Amino acid sequence: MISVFSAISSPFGPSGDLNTVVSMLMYLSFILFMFFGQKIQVRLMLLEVDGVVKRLEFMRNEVKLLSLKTLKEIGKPKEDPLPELNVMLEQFLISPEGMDPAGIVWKLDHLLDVREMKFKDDVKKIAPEADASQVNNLENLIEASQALNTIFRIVRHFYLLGKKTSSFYIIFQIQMVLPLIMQEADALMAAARAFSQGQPIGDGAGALVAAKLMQGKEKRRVGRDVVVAETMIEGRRVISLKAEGPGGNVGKPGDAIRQIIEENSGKIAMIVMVDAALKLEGDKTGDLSEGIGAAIGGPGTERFKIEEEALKHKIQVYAIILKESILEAIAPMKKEISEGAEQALARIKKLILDRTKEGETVIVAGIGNTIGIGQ
Amino acid sequence: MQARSAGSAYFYLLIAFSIVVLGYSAWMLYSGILSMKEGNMENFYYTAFISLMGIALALSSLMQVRKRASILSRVGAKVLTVALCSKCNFKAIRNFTVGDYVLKDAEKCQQCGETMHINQIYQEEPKKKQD
Repeated sequence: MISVFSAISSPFGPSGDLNTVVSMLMYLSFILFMFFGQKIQVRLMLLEVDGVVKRLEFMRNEVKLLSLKTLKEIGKPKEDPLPELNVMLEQFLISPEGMDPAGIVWKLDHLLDVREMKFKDDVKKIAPEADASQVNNLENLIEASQALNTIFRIVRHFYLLGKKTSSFYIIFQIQMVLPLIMQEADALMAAARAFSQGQPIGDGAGALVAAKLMQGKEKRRVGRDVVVAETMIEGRRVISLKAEGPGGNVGKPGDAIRQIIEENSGKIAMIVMVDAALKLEGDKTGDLSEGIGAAIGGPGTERFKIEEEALKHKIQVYAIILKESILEAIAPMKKEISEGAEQALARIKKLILDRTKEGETVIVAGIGNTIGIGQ
Repeated sequence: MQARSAGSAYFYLLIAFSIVVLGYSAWMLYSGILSMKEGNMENFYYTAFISLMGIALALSSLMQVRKRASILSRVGAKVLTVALCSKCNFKAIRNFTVGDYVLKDAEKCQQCGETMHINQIYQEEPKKKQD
């Protein structure tokens, strides 16, 4: 093999001056990079994006196969659900026009309701044997599959557009965010497995705290997909609420809180919201933080409703959050998060005792996806 | 399931290819050192440059594979169900089975015969290597 390399170097003479060869190579590379530097960089970036597109396509297909398998196992459809599933994976929502922002929250809330109703009906159609809880889990699974499909299509779009135009800036903007995109795709992959088996996920930390407060108490439904139970903590009446489990569900806590406030004629001393929140790199998973305001994610409609009611009746709103990463939020729940929920209970009790008097009423809202968590 | 088998085949092929490149590069470096001892410096510089580049590429590829494998192991990690007896606080830990959910009634307590309930469901962390 060495002789082959020696032969390759023969144009410079087998015993030629090495310094001449090295300096010629340096001049050549200098000229090459001066004229074709950006083109080489574009080629290298395209190569990297190409690898990611292939990986995303593999992940998308894996999750789609898992969705199909779970649909067939649980739903026992009479016909092949693949064509319907393909239609669902491409479904989209057009946000309301924001040129006149007055009333936009209610418009968005209505569109989200319609979207959820349609999605649930579509799932029921392709999984006729699934019960209500399983329909919710399947809905979450298909949503994860839909998200991965969208990520794959967007990255592929930029890759092909960049290849077609050879534009440095088109490829650069997608290459720059690739690590974050892959982090999200990995999280969705882990989430799909949890949804297919009905395992609790990290986002369910808030719901878990509320479930523990409700344990053994009489429950009733308030609004859509939300359950409520009452308990007493040292003379304070505590009304705890969470989305109805154990199916994958986030409910509409904003509507439920509004209804509870109306039922109590606005006489609520405090609202405590418990939710999982994204930690910063270096923070410990499952650690708690306390703050002020409505701790609830999503498109913002539920937070708006809670803030409106709190302002109307001058109710204090406190937030307790459990820290976790994006991967931990939608992957099966980690032990630290599950144990963090126990610590959150102690923190809530302390907050209630510190900030309210005996005889007052408090709402504790456990926010998050309640998959794998009963009540 | 075709996509899965194609994916794992690609995964193992990449490992095999990287190991072959690593081995060949190491052998080339050794040959270069031998030629240096023989006084053939030109050959030594040439083979050293090529082989070190090969080693770096193979190691970088293996590191990528390792990173990917750690993500995949996290995706396939074991999920445990903890059943708790509210009377005697006896804890039973078992593998998660489909249908389990937190606060669901579980099996009878082995100590007092009371019906236990599922208190926790969590993902077991892969064991870290002891240094």
